[in-house]
Amino acid sequence: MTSSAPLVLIVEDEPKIRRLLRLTLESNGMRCEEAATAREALSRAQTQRPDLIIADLGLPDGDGLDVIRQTRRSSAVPILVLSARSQEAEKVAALDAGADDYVTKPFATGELLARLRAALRRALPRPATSEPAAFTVRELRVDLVQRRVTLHGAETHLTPIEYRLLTTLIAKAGQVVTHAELLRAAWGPAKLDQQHYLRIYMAGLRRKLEADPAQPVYLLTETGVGYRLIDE
Amino acid sequence: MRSYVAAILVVILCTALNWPLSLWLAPTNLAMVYVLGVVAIAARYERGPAMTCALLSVLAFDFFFVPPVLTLRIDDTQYVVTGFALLVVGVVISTLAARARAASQAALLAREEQLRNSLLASLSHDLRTPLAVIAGSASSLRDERARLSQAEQDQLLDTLYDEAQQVSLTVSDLLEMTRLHSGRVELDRQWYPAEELVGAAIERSKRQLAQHRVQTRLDPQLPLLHVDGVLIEKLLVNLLENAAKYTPAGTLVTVVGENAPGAIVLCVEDEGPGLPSGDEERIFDKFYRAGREAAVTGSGLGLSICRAIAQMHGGSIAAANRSGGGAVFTLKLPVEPAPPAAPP
Repeated sequence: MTSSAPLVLIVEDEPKIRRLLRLTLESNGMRCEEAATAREALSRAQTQRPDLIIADLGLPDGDGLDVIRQTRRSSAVPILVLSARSQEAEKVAALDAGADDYVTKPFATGELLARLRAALRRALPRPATSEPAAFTVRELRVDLVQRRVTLHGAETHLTPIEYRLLTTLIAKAGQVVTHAELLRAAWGPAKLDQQHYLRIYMAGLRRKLEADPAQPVYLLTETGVGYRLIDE
Repeated sequence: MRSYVAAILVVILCTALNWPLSLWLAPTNLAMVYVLGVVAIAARYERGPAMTCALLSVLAFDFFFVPPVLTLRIDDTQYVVTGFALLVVGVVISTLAARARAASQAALLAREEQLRNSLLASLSHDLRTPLAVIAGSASSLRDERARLSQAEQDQLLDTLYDEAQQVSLTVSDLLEMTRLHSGRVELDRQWYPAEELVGAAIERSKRQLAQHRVQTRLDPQLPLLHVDGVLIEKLLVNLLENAAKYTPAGTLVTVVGENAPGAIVLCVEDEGPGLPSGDEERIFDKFYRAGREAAVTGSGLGLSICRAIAQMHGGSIAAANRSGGGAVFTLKLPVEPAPPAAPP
């Protein structure tokens, strides 16, 4: 194992889930540190400087949300939350507190690794001068310099708001983007409680980019949380 | 104690009511007012207060209205009959009411008992079966790996994964059902295009529907739905997974959205064997499962969760067989006034 392998801090009070995560991550070439409590998590995050944190929200000695908030004060390390299904409010709270994405328990390894890779990729240090010039996934290509969107090689015309929504999703491709983030990006902070504006524009965007807008391939819905643009 | 006070108050009330009436009506008719009072007490309280009410009614009737008034003496024998009849009616009614109450309570208890039994039966079946399969598959992989072909190992691993998902689903269905029935769930209503919820539900059921063809037919004129998106998605996922479970691989599952008078209708149609005739209503009962012996697992709660969600939204859900074969589940949601238009 080389020292360039990413270091993942696993914050989880269940030893069996810690062991499973360690097994999965190490067999995929990552290094792991473990923490079973909020206190341990905060001190490990300080001393070990992990490249990514996977955090369960229910910890014996405190709220996982506090771990996220406190970590965020001093670090931009990507944080991935483990959460149960039908706890959308909890997921939104974690994302608002500074988490980057979440994985729903029980999770499939493939999904977990995809989320991990997306989070790590986004955190890679990038030379300040070279903003990515284009985003490509499957048949969709967005030229971020010329502001041109092509699908199967044919140019698609987007309205300015649709384009802003799409680039906001591209900036976090593979990761969930909350309703609030998208509303803020497209209309500013005044319309944060008007989720249906967003849904209507996302529907418009899907009609332009998806073969069947009722069975989207690129722009996935995370009901109750936000949207996710696929990246692989 | 309060019930006896109520009985006395009712008798006083009946007497006060009868006092002006006694100017026009013969005393025998006034007895009927007391009967009403006794019925009211018997319907509301136990036998004791009802009997007390009947007895006091007879005494008040005799004292205030049977000549000579303001004495307990009875000169005319017909009023002995009236008074006696009043007493008998009181006793009979209070006895009948008490018996009816006991019977309905017993029925309620029996229903709860039955529900508890089917819950236990369902739990033992729906958790033990997959758990047995999980333990069996895992031990085969641990002990017999050398003797198993790669394909057999893959099959066991798939089984392990699917059955674990099944246990997880059963547990979350149970939790969801308990949550929905607790009456503490508040709907988080937002405006959704039907297309978005249908798409999200299909995406979430992708694994279960991998062997099926899925198609949507949504009227472009459908208004926005004012619903709790997470719950309506859950409802649609349950219907889609149901279709995947009960229809053969390769068949078509269609989600239809259309306008109806005063309602928005979402349907999930399949090309499977259809519903056992006569069971169109029963399938929404808790723990109902089509073909009990069939190798179909699931909590048996999916459709009753659907119904609970539909009702919370002021809507309804029903199942029927299609004329050309297959089943159709129809969700009807009331049309709500439209939200403010989107900004440019």
